[in-house]
Amino acid sequence: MPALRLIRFVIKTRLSGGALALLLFVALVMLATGLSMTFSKARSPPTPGATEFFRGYMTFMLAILMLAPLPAGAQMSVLKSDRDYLFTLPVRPRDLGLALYIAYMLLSGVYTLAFIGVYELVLGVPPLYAAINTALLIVMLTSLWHVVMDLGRRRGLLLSLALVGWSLTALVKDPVTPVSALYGYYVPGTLTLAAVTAALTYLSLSRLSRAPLLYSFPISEPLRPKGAEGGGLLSFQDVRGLRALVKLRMSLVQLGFGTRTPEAAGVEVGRARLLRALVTMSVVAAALAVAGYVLHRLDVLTLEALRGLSSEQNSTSSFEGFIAFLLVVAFPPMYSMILTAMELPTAFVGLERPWLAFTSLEPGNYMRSSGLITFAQSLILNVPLALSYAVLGLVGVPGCLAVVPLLLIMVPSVALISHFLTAYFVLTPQIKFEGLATTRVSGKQVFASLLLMSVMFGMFTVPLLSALSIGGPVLSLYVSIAFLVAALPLMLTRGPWRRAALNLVEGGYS
Amino acid sequence: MAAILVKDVVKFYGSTPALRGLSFEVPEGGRYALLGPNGAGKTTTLRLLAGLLKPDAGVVRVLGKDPVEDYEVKRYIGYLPEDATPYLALTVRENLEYIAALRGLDDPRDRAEKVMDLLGLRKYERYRVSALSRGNVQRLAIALAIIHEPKVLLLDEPLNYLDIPTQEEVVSVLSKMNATFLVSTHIMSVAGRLTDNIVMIANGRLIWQGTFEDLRKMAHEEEPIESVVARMMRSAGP
Repeated sequence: MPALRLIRFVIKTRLSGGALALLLFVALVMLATGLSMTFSKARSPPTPGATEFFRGYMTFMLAILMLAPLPAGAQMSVLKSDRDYLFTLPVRPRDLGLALYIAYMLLSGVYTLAFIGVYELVLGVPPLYAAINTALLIVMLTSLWHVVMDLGRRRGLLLSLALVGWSLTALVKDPVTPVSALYGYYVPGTLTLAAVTAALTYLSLSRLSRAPLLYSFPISEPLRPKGAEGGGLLSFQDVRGLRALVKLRMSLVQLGFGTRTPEAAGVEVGRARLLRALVTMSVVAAALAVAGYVLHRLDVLTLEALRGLSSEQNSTSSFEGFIAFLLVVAFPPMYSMILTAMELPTAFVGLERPWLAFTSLEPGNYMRSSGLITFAQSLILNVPLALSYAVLGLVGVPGCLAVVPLLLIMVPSVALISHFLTAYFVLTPQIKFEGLATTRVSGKQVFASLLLMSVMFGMFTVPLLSALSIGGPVLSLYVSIAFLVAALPLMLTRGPWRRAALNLVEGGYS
Repeated sequence: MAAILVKDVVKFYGSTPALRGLSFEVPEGGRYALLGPNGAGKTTTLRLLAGLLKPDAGVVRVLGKDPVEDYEVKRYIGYLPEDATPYLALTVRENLEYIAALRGLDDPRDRAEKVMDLLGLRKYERYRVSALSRGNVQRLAIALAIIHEPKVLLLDEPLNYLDIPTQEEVVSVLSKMNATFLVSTHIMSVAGRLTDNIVMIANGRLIWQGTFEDLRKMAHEEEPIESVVARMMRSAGP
């Protein structure tokens, strides 16, 4: 099969026409924005504060992208259908690996462009370096996401964390990191990024070229997860009807992942007691409170330091204050939102279906109750963080009070809305015995992921605006209440949930 | 009153028709096989009867009730989906107790134990579903479909993934049940062992209904029953 046809075939198996069109549209919009910003920058250069804002934003965004592959990442693995059909074609392994890689890059490239690709020019990076760096970042993230998926969750996370940790040393003027070009170290920064990209791409391509050998195991071989046998069993002896659902969901946090690593394939399903998850969140929240308080006492995380950003003067202290703000005030709630308002409902809907077949409950009632429990779970899990931010806010750490309503009102509301949208538009494939059902990314999925990413930015911008006294903490309350109001119809009515249940069945859930 | 009534049912997935005016009935206590080629609409029919889908036109009734609007009738329906996947994060026992509790049955623990003994699931009771073999998952799915002793049993390829000894056990358990059966299958021997009547559909329409005996009478000398079915399905056209 000629290389171009192979690439087209691989892209077609990953992306629907709508998704492809939407991704290309986003990429074009972002490129146009970049060009327009470059021209407007030539007319009126941005203040040092604004430049620092974009630098912080890009570093922050890169860290997020490295740590949590976007929904596109879900498709960046070798599919069961690849093993069954693509690998049996008489194609040179090198061509096969390249075709898979290019298809992945199309997805990751557009996502990268959508979130980080255009601001380098605003930072004053010369156009040539900006172009080279953007291209390298796309290739680096493509390779990283594939390698992370390939290594499996634990080892993949370790690799991502190591890369993020190294990249963050750019904040303390380290010229040799993958993101140092953003900080004015054009030559060493670009060379470092090129070296990291080359290493990851070599690893990714070599594994993809050997895919038919690496992935030739029987996929239906059952996994035996840790704790599969024994352990504290749940009993439903004392509950009936929907109370059983409440008992299940308020006892356990369930997560499901489709896994296709050389060692194992199938579905990895995790469960943890809600109480244990709450204790973990409390430990994280306490550590965060201590870190925030110490930074505040050291005059790093102060209102004055943050306000320096919006002034004409570029001071080191304001930059450090901004980075501390990102790490302590903006980043943890955003990550908590990804976990408790997006991954939690997505995993639940992906794992859900047996009740449809095996129970006599009215679907609308069950689904609405399930959504309300998602709201409650998300609220409970965010209480420790909210308490920490309330304490930090009371001792004067900027922006922290604004985070409290976001965590206690907005995040649970988004969790409920996300639960509903995931079910109604069948945004996640059903997690089956053999892992995630093989599926293409649809236009709806791309749209929903971009929408949810935009909501995620609210977790970042609202506390920042509040900290800078633009709107104050009241702004955060208004934003949170707006989300609660949007979630209210879903709390009160069964009709849409009933439709969602029918959609799940029509969309392939059986 | 018919236990199962399907009358002039039309169902589309988007613009693709799955059922185009399907009609048939199953009397109370009847044991019927739902036969048809791939894409005939068998799974859609079972999902409609289980109340998981809503027809675009026509009437679907189970024990005289609409399973979508009058969901109380689902108390009496047992449904085994094709490729059933119980809760992967729960153990075998937890799945059974949970579904029994959701159904509001008395003593979920007792029900779970009874059905585990019936289907040989005791030794796996503390295993999570994600750790079971596909055959044992199917065994659990059958247990979940019959835990409430349903009056109407809708089975989609019930013997899939099961080894021969387990198939024998399952056939024996199901044969002893006092319920109305509608069994979708491609395998004539499975249909023959679990049912005595046939509803044959193709392209979303009924093409033939009768007993196994009627079908055998239609065979030429020494012609296997599978050939008769194949001939009938082919004659139904595309």
